[in-house]
Amino acid sequence: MKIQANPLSCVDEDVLWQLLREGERKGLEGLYRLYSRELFKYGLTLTHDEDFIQDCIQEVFIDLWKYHLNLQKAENVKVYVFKSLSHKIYRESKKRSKWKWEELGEDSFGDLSVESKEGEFISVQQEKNLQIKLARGLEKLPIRQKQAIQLLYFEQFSYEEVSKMMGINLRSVYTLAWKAIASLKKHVVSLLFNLTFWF
Amino acid sequence: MCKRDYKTEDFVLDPEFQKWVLSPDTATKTYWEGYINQNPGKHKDIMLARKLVLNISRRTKEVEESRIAETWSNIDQALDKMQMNERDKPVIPLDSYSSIRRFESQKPIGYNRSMQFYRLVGILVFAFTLSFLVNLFFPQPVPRIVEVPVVYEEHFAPPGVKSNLTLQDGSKVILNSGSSLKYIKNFESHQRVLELVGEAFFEVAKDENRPFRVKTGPVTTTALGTSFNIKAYENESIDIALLTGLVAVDHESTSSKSVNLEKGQGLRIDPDVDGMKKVAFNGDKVLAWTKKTIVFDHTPMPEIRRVLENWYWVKIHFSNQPKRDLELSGRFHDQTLKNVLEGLSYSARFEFNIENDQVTLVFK
Repeated sequence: MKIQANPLSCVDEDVLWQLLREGERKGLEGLYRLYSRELFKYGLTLTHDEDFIQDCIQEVFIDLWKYHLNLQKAENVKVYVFKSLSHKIYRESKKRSKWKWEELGEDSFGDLSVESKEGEFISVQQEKNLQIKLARGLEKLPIRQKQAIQLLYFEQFSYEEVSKMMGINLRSVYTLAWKAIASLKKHVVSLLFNLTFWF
Repeated sequence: MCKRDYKTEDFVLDPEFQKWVLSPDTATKTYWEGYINQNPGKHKDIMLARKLVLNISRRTKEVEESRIAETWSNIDQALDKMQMNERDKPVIPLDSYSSIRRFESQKPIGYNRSMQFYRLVGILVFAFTLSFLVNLFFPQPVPRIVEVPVVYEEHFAPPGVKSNLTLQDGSKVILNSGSSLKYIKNFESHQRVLELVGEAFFEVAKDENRPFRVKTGPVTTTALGTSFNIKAYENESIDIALLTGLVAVDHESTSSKSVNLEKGQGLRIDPDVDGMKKVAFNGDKVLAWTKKTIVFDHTPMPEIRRVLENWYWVKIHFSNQPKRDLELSGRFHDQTLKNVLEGLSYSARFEFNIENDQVTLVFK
């Protein structure tokens, strides 16, 4: 099946959600088209195993269909879908014990590109080295810290939304993010130190 | 946390700070410049935080379109399969012939067909004889009808309490003190039936496929998205008042067809008299109870007793019988029982005594 430009893609997510709840497959398809790219992107920042992320996304959408009769009126559809994927990835990764998160940071940068938040805005002089260092640092963080930063910083969810998605309270979200930033800070400090040493 | 105690990490995590670094506007600019002025000690932290905000990066990989399409077609197939399974379920061969046929195919080929026919006849004759004998010598077991368990939901507003309910279909109900409401949980698929004893005000959520029926003894009121009040206390007349929309009222014992009420119309069904009578009603008066107001309008003494007993959760005794034609009027908003009785006692000429939950009236 080919994904084409589709009249559904311009439909509002709440309408799609309602269609899904009524058992319309078009609703599910619309939601998939709306979010699949973002979900893949988010999933692939947690692990680079594309097949694994594909499996998880498939299951999230199949579950949505299976349980569409029990779905509540969603306050925020995007939050719900991201939350489902986060949970799925977290659970499945625990199941596959041979599969280790730590391994992920070590592969070469090859076909992966580095994306900083700054790139989305006015171009300030980029510090490529530092960015690569920080990207590596981010990948080495514990999974929960990494998740918090991905959702808060890159996916632009609010603290409240992230707290719902991760199933922890606001305070804990902040603490996780704080710890993550504290580890990342070291990279900047060491780099700055190197620079002052050189000049 | 106060921003004066901020560390580098807190700056990075502050959405306002991020905004200032990444896409400053006048408001954020003014704020953070002011902040640096007042907190010169934070300069180094802010420098570091800014560097982090600008450079925190993640490795991403754009997923190929082919994978996105492949994923959807996998989901689509899984959904097809699920629907197929659901369709296949009910197909179970029930008749004996098809069961026998199933075994037949397992027999070696070249089997004598006419032999098989006689075997079949033999089996059928044997089976019929056996079932005939079983029926003859053993009492026939009573067929058990397996009923889907019906779960009822019941609400009771104890005397002294009014309850606001929202039903599963979104309809709203205010239940007066001492009244009860019973219905099948989640309702049936084709109708919403509720049984009411006492008084309630309904605001019915629109659902044209499932009429909303309120049963009060022999009387059934059917509505489709309306608001109405029903009063149906035991041994009193049943009063239905329609505020908006349209309802139909049916009476079991009268063979006459149902009565349609329009907005603003009321219906009174007396227990002694067989029949229904359209009456005018005063909306304010009918709904007064939902606004903490008791209204008596030429109300006979027994009804006053019932209203006050439910409202204040007391037991009222008449030490002597009031005059039969004694009717009282009055309007009491959020009053104590003592005040209400005092108000009534002037026109009705009685004395009263309240002792805990026991009230005694002495008519002069």
